[in-house]
Formats: sequence, structure tokens, C-alpha cells
Amino acid sequence: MNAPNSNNETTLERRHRALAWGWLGILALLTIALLIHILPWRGQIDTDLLTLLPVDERNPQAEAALKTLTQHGERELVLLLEAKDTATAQRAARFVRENLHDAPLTPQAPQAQIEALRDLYFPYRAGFVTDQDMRWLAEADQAAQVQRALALAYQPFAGGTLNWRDDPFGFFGNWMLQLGAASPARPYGDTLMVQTADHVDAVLLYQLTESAFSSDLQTCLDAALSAAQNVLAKQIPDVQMQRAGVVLHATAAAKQARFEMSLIGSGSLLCCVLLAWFVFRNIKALRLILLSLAAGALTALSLTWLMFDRLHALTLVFGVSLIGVAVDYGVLVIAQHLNDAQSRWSRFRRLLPPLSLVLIAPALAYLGLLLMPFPGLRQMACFAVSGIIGAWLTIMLWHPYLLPTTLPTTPLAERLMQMLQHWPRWRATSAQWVVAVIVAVVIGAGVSQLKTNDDIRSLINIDPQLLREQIAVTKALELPSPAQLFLITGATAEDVLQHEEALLKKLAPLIADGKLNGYDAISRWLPSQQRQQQAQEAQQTLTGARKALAKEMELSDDWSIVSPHAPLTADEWLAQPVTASLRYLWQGRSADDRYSSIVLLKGLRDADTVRQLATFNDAHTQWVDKTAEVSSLMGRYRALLSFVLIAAYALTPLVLLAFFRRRTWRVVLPSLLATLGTLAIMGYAGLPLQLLNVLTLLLVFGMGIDYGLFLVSQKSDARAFLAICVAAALTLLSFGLLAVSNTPALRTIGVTTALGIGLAWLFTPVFREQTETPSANAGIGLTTKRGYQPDFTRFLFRRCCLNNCYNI
Amino acid sequence: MKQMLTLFLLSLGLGFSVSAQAADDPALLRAVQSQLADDTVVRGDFTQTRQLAGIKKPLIAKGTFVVEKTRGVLWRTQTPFPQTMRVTQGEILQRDGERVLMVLRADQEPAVNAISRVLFSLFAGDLSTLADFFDYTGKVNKGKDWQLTFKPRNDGLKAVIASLSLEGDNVVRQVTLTSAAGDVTRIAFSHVTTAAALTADERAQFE
Repeated sequence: MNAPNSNNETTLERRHRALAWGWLGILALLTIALLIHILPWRGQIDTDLLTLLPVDERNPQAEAALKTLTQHGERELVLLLEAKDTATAQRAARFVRENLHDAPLTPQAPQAQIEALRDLYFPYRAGFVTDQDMRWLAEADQAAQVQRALALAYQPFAGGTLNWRDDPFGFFGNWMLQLGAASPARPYGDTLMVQTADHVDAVLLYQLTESAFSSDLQTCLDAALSAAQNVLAKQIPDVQMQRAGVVLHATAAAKQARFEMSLIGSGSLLCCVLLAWFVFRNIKALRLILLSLAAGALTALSLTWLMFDRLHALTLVFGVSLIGVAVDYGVLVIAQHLNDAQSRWSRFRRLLPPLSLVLIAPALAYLGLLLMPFPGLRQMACFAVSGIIGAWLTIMLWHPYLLPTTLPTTPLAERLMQMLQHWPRWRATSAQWVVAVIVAVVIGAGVSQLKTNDDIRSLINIDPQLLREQIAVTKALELPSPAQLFLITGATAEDVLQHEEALLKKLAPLIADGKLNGYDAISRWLPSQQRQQQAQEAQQTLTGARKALAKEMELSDDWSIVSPHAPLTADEWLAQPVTASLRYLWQGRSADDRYSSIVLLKGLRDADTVRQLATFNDAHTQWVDKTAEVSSLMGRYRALLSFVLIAAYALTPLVLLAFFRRRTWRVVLPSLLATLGTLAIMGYAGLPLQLLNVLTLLLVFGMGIDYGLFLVSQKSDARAFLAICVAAALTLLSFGLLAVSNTPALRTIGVTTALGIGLAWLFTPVFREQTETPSANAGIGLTTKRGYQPDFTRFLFRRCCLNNCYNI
Repeated sequence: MKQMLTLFLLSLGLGFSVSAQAADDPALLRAVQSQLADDTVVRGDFTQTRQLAGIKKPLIAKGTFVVEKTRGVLWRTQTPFPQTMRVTQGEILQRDGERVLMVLRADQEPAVNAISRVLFSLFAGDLSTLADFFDYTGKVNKGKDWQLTFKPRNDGLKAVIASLSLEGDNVVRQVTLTSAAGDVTRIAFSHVTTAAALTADERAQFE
């Protein structure tokens, strides 16, 4: 080497050293940032799969309605104590209440306070008449009217909540009574009870003091509930406790995510360390790999935290499995040190182009994800990209200092490298063409059998015991479905109420037929002004009867005249504290100056009814089926992501063409075959194609291309092959571990990646080039001939002040 | 608190003929319950005087009643107009001759269960069930007559009933019900007899 060369090398070394120190500084800063925020973060690990889903941008009002509903329900906890008789249920209820006294729970008012509601409605009561009484009013003559009032006056235990003078015909009393249809639970003694034919349920309603996703609250509540349940089982063994609440699912999911995270994390780490040790037998190599992993984890955690305020448990579990990906770069670099006589800087120059290119494919894949309005995928992509870049930078910037100039080979490494010679190679012989056609047919047949499944429910893992209890509680309390509802809109609040009433009229026959059990709607509590006026008018026919009654009861004539009263308006109703617990049904005024409300349905069972409900849609009434909508959204995104994948396969060769020219197909084909092969196997195995599979295939695309790229750019060097073997094995192990997850979503990711990476590893060496020179002399990697210099490489090298490196 | 009060009363001496009782003392209920005849069927005449809030004229009704411990209550008003009320487990039915004036069923309105239980136990003299719903005070006199006053424990019942008083000896003699709206209903029972079974006619009315 001549003098200018070594001068340049000094410059490179100096700059490189500065960058290496800089990276150390950045990592230190990230560590500090993470340490400061690690405490608030602990409480913010999200386990709700729905938060990962995109907002339905096409229907913001429905989204807002569902959000209100979710917020309303998130902090609720319902306990049901099933007993044979009321006394036992009541005893159990008192017992559990006492035991949960110190839990982070606030007991909820057992019902909308009857008295407060009665006082609110009292001045407007002439407008509050049930449908049944409206029909009676249309038919009854004066004698019947008088008789009805007298019967009520003499009835010893009139059920009305007003005295006779104020409600002589009992219309208002009946109206108040039908409010009871809102819930089957009734106060019995000091406890809310639901009576059924063969048992009694005591109902305990609680509100969490904090968010259901707070880990402190979850721990506290979990302990308190288990303790209460244990003591109850001992003291009153014939009482069954059923629980329902978001917090229970959140707790179970968080527990599971923590367990899986540590299992998969420690499993992946252990596999990495063991494999790296057996292949390289060098403590410094192991140290570099572990350092790159730590740096990757640090970057991923801190950058994801900067971009998202909540970290999802799925991201963490998925992220942990990325250990297998991040470790690849270390392995690629270390393998190149085996028995290599070059100086570390000339080797660095040789490795820089291919190791820069290996970032392109994953970057392309994940950039596509980052741009999507899919919060969950964006978070995972952000986590993956930052983790991978962190690990890559660590390897690129630190390996010259942390690795010895040359590493001796080990027996295992030798054996693996020798495998390459025996690996089948594509030579385009006629026999190989036959095999190729057969493979193509087999793959084609498999892919054609592929089915799709976009049902969100197939991805969610719900504890079966909790689900059973939830169903029991929902059934006993006739709770409405939170994911299927009607959204009512109108230009004014009054319009909304009128449209609601029109809808409820259409629902009445369904309820009569038993297809629905009932509904929750604001107009049950607040009739429209139009309806109130109709009721007032209908009562004008009572004047004669009232006069007769006044005479009979020795009341003044004034009593017999009911003057019209202004109806109760939505604003007045909403302003009352007693209606606060019902306000979630009222969406109010939106940004576009329209009003809306929601109608929830109870006891919705079959798909036929759902189809029938969907036909009730009109300009003001919209049927919202969140489950179906999410599934269709998943389908749309699956299609979109498939397109991204196809585009990635179409565009990457164009980019690679500049560097690899006619060899480009050798880089891309293994990855493409691996993807198609995975799809074919899924087709044969009956595994449906889901959004997450396509996402995973994007990962397979990135890594598959990397393998091909590295092997081709290193001129089929046995060391590159060794690196690919180790990298693939590590990925297989860490993603294979995902298959043990209880979350179907993660299992899907695990299985697809294992298949894809396995196939990519099998196919990559098949399309290697003929090895021209012995591996130890792999002096020049990317280019062998003069004038074959790619522009991109030149650019990279200039930046590194290596203008004369390739004899330009 | 209750223990302190009992202790205080004990220190005053046990020999009084009338012993004042602390609120919700199960011993009081047991004492009254033990006096009440434990027959299956109780029947008799009633005179009901209602004083409705805001109305001066008292409304007086007369009629007969039958209580059967397992089936329920038949309340037959004869004057000023005939009307029947039947309270069974899970249903309250009001009839004017053959015409049904009002029917409340527990499968439509679950509160009917609680209301019918209260009415049931009121007439059947099942004091312990009443105690599930009400706080109570009262006294037992040496002459074996007794007085109990019940006040509802939960808000739902408070919205309907202000208080309930019972007086009696071996049967309930008078019930006074003050509704939350201020109506006062006083029911005096007379010619009260007990029996082991319903007559065929009565049984038919319960069907």
C-alpha cells in the first residue's frame, strides 16, 4: 500500500472512530431517557387488541360513538353472586362487599335514583304517557276513565310514585314503571338482585378508581378478588361468583404477555448465545453480538416510546422475537473474520457495501408499514426498524474495535461451510428444469387452495373461563352488545329523539317476536317534544272525567283543568346530575353541527336479525357493526399489504439491478420462492391468509433478500453461507418460540416466519454462482471487473473518503 | 352501639313489663313471631280507610281477605264498588268483576317479586322477610299485644313507602301504611279466623 492510501485510511479511521464514540453517546442519552420514563411506562402497557386497529376514517361519527362507549365501559366491574335463594345471595353480597372494601373500587349506585328522576319529570308529567296508555286514551269513555281513577284511589297499595291527586289515572306511574325494562336487576333489601326461575343473582357494581390498564390497579384488584373468592368458597360454598369487566381481560392478557415475553425473550437470547458460541467459540464475538442486541433493544424501546405514548404488549412480544433478526448483522460480520488475513480496515471497506444494502430491504418493508394508518402495525414497524438500525449501527461502528483482526475457524463452522459444496446448485440442466416445473406446479396448486380469513375474533385470545363468566353476566343482566349499535343523527336534538322513536317503533315487533330482548336508548328516558305534546293533547279528552272526579273527591274545579305545559327538552334533561349515568347514549353535537345518539340492543342472537337490522338504515339511522367493520377493514388492509408486498418484490430488483446487473435474479428469486412456498404450504395445511401473515411475509421478503444479497455479493463465499445458516437458524429459533404463544395473532406470525425463513435459507444457496476462487481470497466482494462499479457504491465510498480504493 | 345499649338496658334491670327494644333486634322479631298463630290460612274482614294527600275526604272501603301461606293474598273489596286484588308469587292482578284492571308480572317487571313478597309477608305475618327490606322498632306488651314499625332500608322502596306499622296479638289486627307521597292507609282487620286449608271456592280464585 502506498502513502496516499494510508493517509486516506487514517482519515477513515478517524471519522469512523468519531462516529463510534458518537453512537456510544447517543446510546447513553437513550439509556437516560428510558430510565426516566421507565416508571410511567410500566403502567401503560396496553393489552387491548382493539387499540392496535385502525380508526375507521370513513365513519368518524360511528368511531366517536364506539369510543364513548368503550370509555364508559372500561372502568366497570360487575360481580354476580348466584345463589339458590335470596337470603343466601344477600349474605354472600354483604360478605363480598366487606372483603372488597380495601380494593381499588368504588361501589356504584345500584340504580338511577327513582326519586330524583321523579322530581325531574314531575312538572312535565302530562307529556309522559306510555304507548299502552295512549291506546287506552284513544278508546276509553268517560265512565271507564272515572272508574280507572277511582279504582286507583281505593287501591290499598297503589304502586305509583306520585300521590293520587297528581296522577289520578296512573299514567305517570305506568311510565315510570316501564323505565324498569331498562334493567332486570331490582333492589332487594340493600342489594341489587336478579331473580330467575331457579336461582337468584346478587349484583355488585363497581367502578375502578384508575384505568383498567394500570398495572398497579390490576395487581391490587387481582389479589383482592382472588382473596374474596377463596374466602367466599370456604364460608358460603354454594354461591357461584361470576365476574365481568374489561379489567379482568386486561389483567389476564398482561399476565400472559409478561410470561410470554420473558419466555420468548430468554429463550431467544439463550439460543443466540449458545449457537453463536458453538459456531464461533470466541468470547469477543459473543460480546459483540450481545452488545448489538442490547443497543437494538435500547433504541427500539426508547424511540417507540418517543413516538407512541402507550406501548402495546403485542409489540413487546413481537419485538422480543426480533432478537433473531437483529443478531444477523453481527453474525454476517463475524463470519467474515474467520481465517481472514486482511487488515480490519480493508475488510471493513469490503463489507460496507453489502452491509449497507442489507438494510434496504427491511427499511423498504417497514417504511411501508409506518405509512399506514394502522396504529398497531406502525408501532411494531417502528419498534422493528429502530431495533434493527440500532443493532446494525452497533455492529458497523464498533466491530473494528471489539473484534480481533482474525478469528480462527471452529470445527462446527468448518462443517457448515463445507455443506455449501454439497448443496444443490441451479445449472439449468434439463433434469433441473423438470424439477423446477414440478415445484412450480406444486406451489401453484397450493397457492390456489389458499383461503382468506379476516375475522378479528380469530386473532383475539380470550381466557375461556373469563369469557364464560362474561357471557353469564351479560345474559343475567341483559347487558347490550357494545360492538353493534344504531347511530342516530339529526339536525337538532329534537330531530334525533324523533328519529330514535321511529326506530324503536320498528324494533318493537322484533322484541315481541323474541328476536331481541330490548334496547338502551335515550328516548326511553326522554320522549321527544313532539311525543310529549301528543301525550298532552290526548289527555284533553279527560276533562269530563276529571270534573266528575273533582266532585266525588270534593276537590276544587281548578283541579279538573290541566293547562298545557312546555315539554322537557334535551338540554334540561342532560343538565341534571341524575341523568349522568345515561349520558353515554347521547353523543350530542359534533363538529359538523349535527346531533347524534346511540341505541344499543340487548339479546341480539342470530345473523338473520342482524341482516334485518341493517335494513333499518336510512338517512338518519345507521347500523354500526364494529365486529363486521373491523373484519372488513382487516380485509382491506390485507389486500393493501399484499399490494405493498408485490410492489416490494417488483421494485427491489430495479434497485438491485444497478448493483448486481444480470445476477439480480439470484438475489431476489430465493426470497420470492420462499414466499410462494410459504403460501403454498399454508394452502395445503388449510391455514387461512390473514393480515398478519402478509405482514410476516414482508419480514420474510426483507430477510430472504438479505440472504441472497449477502451470498451473491460475497461471491458465494463459504463464510457468507455460514453466516446465512447461523442467521436463519437464529431467526427460526426465536420466531419458532412465538408459536408457543397463547395469542393466536402471535402464533400466526411465528408459524409464517418460521416457514418463510426456513424456505429462504433452503433456496438461497441453490441459486449461488459458481465459486471462482478459494474462499480465503475473497478480496473484493461486490465487483470483480473493472468498470463494473455501481454508482451507489461509489457514492457510499466517497462519503468514506475512499475515492481511490477501486482504481477509478 | 347495639351492644352498649343492651348493656345499658340490662343494668337498668330486667323486670319491666314493657321492654323497650333497640332497632333491628332479632329477639324482638322472634318474640312477636312466636305469638303469631302459625296456621296456613288466615281469613277475615277488613275496613280500609285511605287519607290521600291533598284530599280531605277519607276513602273508606270494606271487604274480606284470605291469606294462604304458600299461594298468596286475595283482597276482595265489596264497597264502595266490587274489586279484587290477588297477590301471588310473581304476579299482582287487579280485577273489577271479570274485567282485568291491572296486571303486573314479575317476568315483565322484576320488582313485582319484591313487592309481592312484602305484601305476602305483611299479611302472612312473616316478619323475618319484612326485616330483609325494612329497619324496624317496636315493643311487646305483657298482655301479649305488640307493635312494630318498619322503615324501608333501600332507596327504591323509600320512593314508595315512608313507613309501615303493624299491631296485633296472635294475629295482625291493624296495618298502617304511609306512602312516600303522603297517602295514609289504615287497615283494620276483624273477625279474623285461622284454618288449615282454603275452601274450594278460594282455591279456584287462586288458579
